[in-house]
Amino acid sequence: MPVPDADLICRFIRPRDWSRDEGRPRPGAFKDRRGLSLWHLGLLEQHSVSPEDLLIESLTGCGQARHTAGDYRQAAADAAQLAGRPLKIAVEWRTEHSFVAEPWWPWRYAHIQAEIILGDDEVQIRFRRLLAIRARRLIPPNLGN
Amino acid sequence: MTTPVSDIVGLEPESRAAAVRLPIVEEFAAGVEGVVPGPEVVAMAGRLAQAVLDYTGETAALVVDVDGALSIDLRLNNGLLLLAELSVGGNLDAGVYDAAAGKEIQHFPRASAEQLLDLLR
Repeated sequence: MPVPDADLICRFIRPRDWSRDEGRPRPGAFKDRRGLSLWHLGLLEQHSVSPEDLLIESLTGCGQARHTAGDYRQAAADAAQLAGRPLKIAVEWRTEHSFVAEPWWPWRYAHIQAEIILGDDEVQIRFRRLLAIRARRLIPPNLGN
Repeated sequence: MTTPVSDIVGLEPESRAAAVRLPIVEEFAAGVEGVVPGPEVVAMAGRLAQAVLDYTGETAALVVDVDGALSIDLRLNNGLLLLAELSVGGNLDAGVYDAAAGKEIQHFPRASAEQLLDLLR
């Protein structure tokens, strides 16, 4: 089921995918062959869960890039328009075991996946770059010193 | 001491080899999941990495992504953002962005090293 455009979602950003100089994620933070794992902030809040509660195991120390689901769709539409070729994405609830690893299973109700359905490399690169520079709110990862 | 950008294009073989030895280039050259870039692609990565180092004075603008691509992310002197990636297969995709407006200004999907180096001049 598609996530409504206005809903706020979060992508966790690993320290190595964060540009210290720019204070935002690098485009590479939005690369994943299995699709982008995202979390629905409103649902977490309804369950009195903070996004920081999910920063365990491999997500320890991550920051956050917050967009709306509509921002993902708009970035895809803009990338497609710029390239003159299609980019189709799906931003949908994915609460099954195949999408949510065991450590985060208790919060599966809030898990979303953004998957590329159709789009060549060039248009996907443009999509990732637009996401990297268009986040509505950013929380930096733990960068140590 | 770093090499001026203007000299990168015409690097002597010894200098090119020195550029290739940058740790970030070594990381790129190691490849990912058994797929490694060819020597020409590694040499190109070396030239680009050295040029970024000359421009910014540090290599923080460079990172190897999960798919093995060498990624460049730096603020140009004119305030615009240069985002580029050199794939393991050797394709260089470069773009110039107005980050404040969230807009793409220029895009070179199959850029040459010289095109990217021009942006750093």
